[in-house]
Amino acid sequence: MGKDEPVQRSRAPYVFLMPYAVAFLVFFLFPVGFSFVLSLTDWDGLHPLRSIGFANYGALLNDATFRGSMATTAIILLQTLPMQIMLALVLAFGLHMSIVGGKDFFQTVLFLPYITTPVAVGLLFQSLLGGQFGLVNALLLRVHLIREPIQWLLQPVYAKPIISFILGWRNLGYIMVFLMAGMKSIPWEIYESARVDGARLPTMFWRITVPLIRPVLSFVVVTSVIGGFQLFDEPFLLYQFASAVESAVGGPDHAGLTIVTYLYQTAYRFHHWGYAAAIGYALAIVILVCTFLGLRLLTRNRRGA
Amino acid sequence: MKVRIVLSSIAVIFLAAAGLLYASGGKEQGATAAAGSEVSGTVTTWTWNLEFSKLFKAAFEAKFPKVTNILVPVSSSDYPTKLQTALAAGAGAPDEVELDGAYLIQFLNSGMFEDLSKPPYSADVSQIPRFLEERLTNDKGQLIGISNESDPGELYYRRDVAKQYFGTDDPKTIGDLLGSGAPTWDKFIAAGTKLRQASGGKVSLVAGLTDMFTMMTRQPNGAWHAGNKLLITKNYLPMFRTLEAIRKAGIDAKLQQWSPEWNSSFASGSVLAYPGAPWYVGYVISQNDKNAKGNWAMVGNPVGNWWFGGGGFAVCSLSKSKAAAWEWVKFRTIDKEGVKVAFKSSGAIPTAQFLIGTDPLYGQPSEILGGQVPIPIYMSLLDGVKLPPLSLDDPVANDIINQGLTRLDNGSATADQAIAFILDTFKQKLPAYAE
Repeated sequence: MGKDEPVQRSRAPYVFLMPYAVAFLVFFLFPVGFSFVLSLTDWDGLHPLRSIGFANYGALLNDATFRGSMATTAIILLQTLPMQIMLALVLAFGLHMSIVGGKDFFQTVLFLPYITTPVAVGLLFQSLLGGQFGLVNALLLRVHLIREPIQWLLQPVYAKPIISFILGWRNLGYIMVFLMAGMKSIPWEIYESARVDGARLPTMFWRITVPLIRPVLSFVVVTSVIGGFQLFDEPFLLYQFASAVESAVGGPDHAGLTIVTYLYQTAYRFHHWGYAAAIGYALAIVILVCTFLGLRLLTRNRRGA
Repeated sequence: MKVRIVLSSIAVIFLAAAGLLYASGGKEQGATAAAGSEVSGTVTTWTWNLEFSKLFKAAFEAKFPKVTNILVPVSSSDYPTKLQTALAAGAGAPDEVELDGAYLIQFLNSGMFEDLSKPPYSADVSQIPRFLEERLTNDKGQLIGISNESDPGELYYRRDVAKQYFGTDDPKTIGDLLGSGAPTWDKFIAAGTKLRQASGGKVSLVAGLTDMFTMMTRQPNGAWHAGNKLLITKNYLPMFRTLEAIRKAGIDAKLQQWSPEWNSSFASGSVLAYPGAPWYVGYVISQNDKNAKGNWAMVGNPVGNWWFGGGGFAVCSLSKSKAAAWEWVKFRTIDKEGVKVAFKSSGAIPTAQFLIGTDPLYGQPSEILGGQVPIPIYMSLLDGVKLPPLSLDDPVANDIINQGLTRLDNGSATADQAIAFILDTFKQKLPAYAE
């Protein structure tokens, strides 16, 4: 086609896009819209919908359990994210600079927890942290660090550290892979020049690597925050069967009750679907605000430049 | 060019439609309603115990050769959610529904099940304990299901442990010590203290507070409400104080019911007694203790009788094979041959008490229970059983109470503090109830 020839419009691309558009409408847009409608009702899952206006949102503001679940989620995030990203950065740098050998081996091993199914992870840690027969207690008793088994899954004080540990362990390899990909894009000559100038590894890490992978770092932080607020698998599966009561989730005294776990409990155990939908929308607003603030903070210097 | 576009469009639309149709599944065929063994059709049942249900299926299809029974495995924790989704969507629900006690109230007044007291069903429930019939009757007075097991609660204990530390495994003597011969919790705790001293602390009387809580909440004073009146101080404060006394006496092994350690304790002999129901023999004791044969026995209950059953079976109103589904419900609950299948495989005793006299099988001693004849004992333990009323607020209430129990169990609160927490949380979460 020449430069002056008019662009031919065709209907074919729209037709090929239609299946995706239909699927997007049916499986994404409609549920999002219907969820909002649901949040304005007191639906129990069986009887016809009955509108109650914004009563669910009003109730959320006075719901101590909801506030508690927000706090739990935020604490777990704060306990996990900074250390996880720091450790992933250091490990990625170490592997990228070949400080230790076996790069492919370590990359695979560290990535394995991420691809392990959450159900297996939950059962594994339930078994490890069991009171009478758990491996952790067995080891601690053996080396005389404790005199009787600790009820790890019964004591509220251990809930958040355990969940943070599991989350950090699971996602470390995944974050590390992203950071390594970012580091691969840094021209090697920069490191060579720095080496010639006498720079050592820590200097190269802080002055070259971290600034140059900032976009990847921003992506990792933002997606980790979003994922953190949506935390469900680990706390739910860890404390599954940890209570004799069918409707109980979130661990002892709700110490591990995150926002999404509370949403699940409200919908699937308490059958308050309207209220659960309101929790979902409240969570979406929180994530939006945090993502916006996070992006502003992380891209602040670049905008200034 | 235009022809190519049109043909491509048709191909795309066809593929999309084929995909949607594949995802939506096929349709059930309707059943022909007919009497007796002429009943035909396909009955879909969801089950979380596939092996057990297969036993019923084989016997049922032998009796009703024109009915095909499709068993779909669904885990017990997924069952209510899956059922609710299917009922709300108006499609995909099983023909015969198992309404377990854990979620019975959610569906009891849903209007999605057939009234079995009316024609064409006209269920004869005259021989079923009244409290079980009432449990499955909705607020419109419709009998929406039939209970399949009587399930009185009792105490199961290990004979070898009893013999070692009490000098005997005789059920009468053990029963006098800690079973129906213990009209107060003090006597029960005294027996536990004696066991702890005799074993040097190696053996506990019970597995944990959650076991005891399971029993106590099902005894006559176990209800959390009566209408809108909260009964937490009246019923749960004494209960929590008793649990606290059990823990202070050091007679429980601090195990969580249904946890892996709890399951292991049946075989290890570190716990003497477990509150349970007839289904414990087949589903819990013999599954967890491979050497259970002859080494267990049961006695009546301390303080009061209780019931540890589930719900029942119902015919879904969406079913296209209602006649066949009804035969399947009857077979599982009040049919002479059907209930024998349950009894032989798991020791479950029939709800319809007239069936008990119809077969010498029910008078047979139990191998697991060391020659005890369980049925007469079970029947006697139905006396005085009083079920707490069902409420749609039960899940929320149970969650609140469980939080209080957890605080007591992990030592972070006394009984009185735990009850105070429960009352505060009720004010916030369920303000409609008051003491």
